[in-house]
Amino acid sequence: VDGGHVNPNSYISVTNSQTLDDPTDGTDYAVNSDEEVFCSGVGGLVYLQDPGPTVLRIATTYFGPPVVQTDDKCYWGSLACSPGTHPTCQVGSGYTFAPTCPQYVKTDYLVVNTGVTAPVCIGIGLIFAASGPGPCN
Amino acid sequence: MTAWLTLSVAFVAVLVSAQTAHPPATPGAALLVLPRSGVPISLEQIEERWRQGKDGGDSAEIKSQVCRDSAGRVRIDAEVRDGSGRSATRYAELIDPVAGSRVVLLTAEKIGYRTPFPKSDQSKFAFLGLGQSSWDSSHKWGPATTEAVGKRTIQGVGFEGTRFIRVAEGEPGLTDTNEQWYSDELKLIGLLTGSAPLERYSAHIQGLRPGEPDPAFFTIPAEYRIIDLQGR
Repeated sequence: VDGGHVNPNSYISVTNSQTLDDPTDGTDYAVNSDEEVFCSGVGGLVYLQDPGPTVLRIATTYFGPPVVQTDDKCYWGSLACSPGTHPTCQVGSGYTFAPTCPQYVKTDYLVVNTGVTAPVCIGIGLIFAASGPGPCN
Repeated sequence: MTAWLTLSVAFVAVLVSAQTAHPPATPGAALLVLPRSGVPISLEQIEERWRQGKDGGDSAEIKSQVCRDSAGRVRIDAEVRDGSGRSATRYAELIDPVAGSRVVLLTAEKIGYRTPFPKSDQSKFAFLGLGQSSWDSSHKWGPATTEAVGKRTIQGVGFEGTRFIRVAEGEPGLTDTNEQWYSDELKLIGLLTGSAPLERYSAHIQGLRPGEPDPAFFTIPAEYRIIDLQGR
């Protein structure tokens, strides 16, 4: 195992010789071809076998004011991360709030790292009204 | 015993390395074509990002094929490349307001991540990190102001522009300006531009084609393992 990603409530098994229960939220695990990783990410179950160099992680970012509302779209203009926490992902889009836009939201991203270039943050659309600032990772 | 110690050391090394900061990540494709019903369409979406890093500028290009059917289902096939042209990630995204789901398909891994999506046609869409100043902590930014910037034609269609401006406090010459050009007729954003002291961004559409896309685009291939994510 070399660095790497894991999600909350996840564990990693390396050739059946090591198990990690309840790891730290937002930490990462890289997975080599002869390893397996099981992750209950944001409520679901992830199972990868022989995934090559690809690394997966769920990252959370909080956003806050200024909030702008135009027609059927809401915009959040700043990061709202708790002191000492840093976001992996800083922009994105998704859904959905009606009829008004809350001052703070938190969102989850799927971070995909093939090891070739910089990781890519894919907005998976999970955006929630929240109190902010909050912990980013 | 030696093997156990080796594993223990490796495990500690993992925990230590996991505490280090993550490298800067590239955003995936923006949601320009909103999942609204009644306007089937296909197009290409081109995005370019550049930002100043500690060791020089980082750039990325995202090319996406996008289609939307009459029901409002949207498919985005995106390829993310870095500044040298190397392909970092390919993925497809299926947004289905009929079924109430959004699925990200990792094409290399043959894995799909499914999250809930509201079925309501009246939902508002969230755009996060408006303005590049959202990540620029070296300046303190003032509130956002918006202004209408008129109309223009893109791909033969009329779009209306809105400009979002923020000014760094105490530095009136330092601005973060973003423009969005939206067509309420087509329910899509045709052009996005952003410029700030340390970052530039643009997204535009091309190859606009009205009409119903192939229904097969909105089905998940059988070989994909689908993982349901419900949120924390």
